[in-house]
Amino acid sequence: MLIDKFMIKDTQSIEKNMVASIVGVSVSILFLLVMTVVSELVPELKVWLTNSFSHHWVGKGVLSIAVFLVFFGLDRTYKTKITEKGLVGAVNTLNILVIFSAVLILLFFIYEGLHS
Amino acid sequence: MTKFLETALIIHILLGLVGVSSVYFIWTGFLKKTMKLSSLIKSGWIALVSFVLSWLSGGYYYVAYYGDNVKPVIKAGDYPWAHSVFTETKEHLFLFLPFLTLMILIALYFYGDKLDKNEKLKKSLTLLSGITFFLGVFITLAGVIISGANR
Repeated sequence: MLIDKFMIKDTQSIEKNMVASIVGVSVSILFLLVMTVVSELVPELKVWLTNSFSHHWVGKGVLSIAVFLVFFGLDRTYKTKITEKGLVGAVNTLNILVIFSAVLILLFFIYEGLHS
Repeated sequence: MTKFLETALIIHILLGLVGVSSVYFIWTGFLKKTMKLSSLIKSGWIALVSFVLSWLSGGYYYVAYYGDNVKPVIKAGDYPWAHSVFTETKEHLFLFLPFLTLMILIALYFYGDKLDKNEKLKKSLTLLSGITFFLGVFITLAGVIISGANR
């Protein structure tokens, strides 16, 4: 499988890949939340994203992929063994983060829509 | 609108629906007592590829056409909130979907064979796939509202 070329499937790597993925995805979601809100409140950031990536939305997409790759790569070098309880906690934290970010983005644009 | 942009928009919609349906299949697969792992991994791949391609085709349409041609019409129409609330929210929440699908796929690939013995992790991943599905449904419905406001 294609995924085999990037990730070795021994016990230690399984844990590392799982934790690295959870951390990478969580930080990317958080990054997207912050960038979405801040780029609306600080026009200079939106202009910079537009100038650098042709469109602010493209910039957010490209940078979030870069953030994922950096944190995924960094976290795979993490040495401490993670318990299954820790793994469950990490997925639950991601679940809460996704719901929180989605609701916050929706409420933010409802607020912005009402005041524009 | 050119034929190419029309095609990009159709691909965006169809692949988005394929992606959401595949995540639904994964979610309901997690809810079953015994998971059929190989089917769920295949669905994970289909969802991931669909969302990435839908992201690219929709992104191209959005950047090349929507901003200059559709957005001003909606903002000047009876339902300006369709853009200010739903387009703005949709365009940002859509960025979540490939990441969440990748996370589900990696979990299925690396932990799938252990999930039947680890109920707590299975429940957490079931919730993650459910959240991803409902996020996909919200984004789809937002697309319907935006299209309606442009008529």
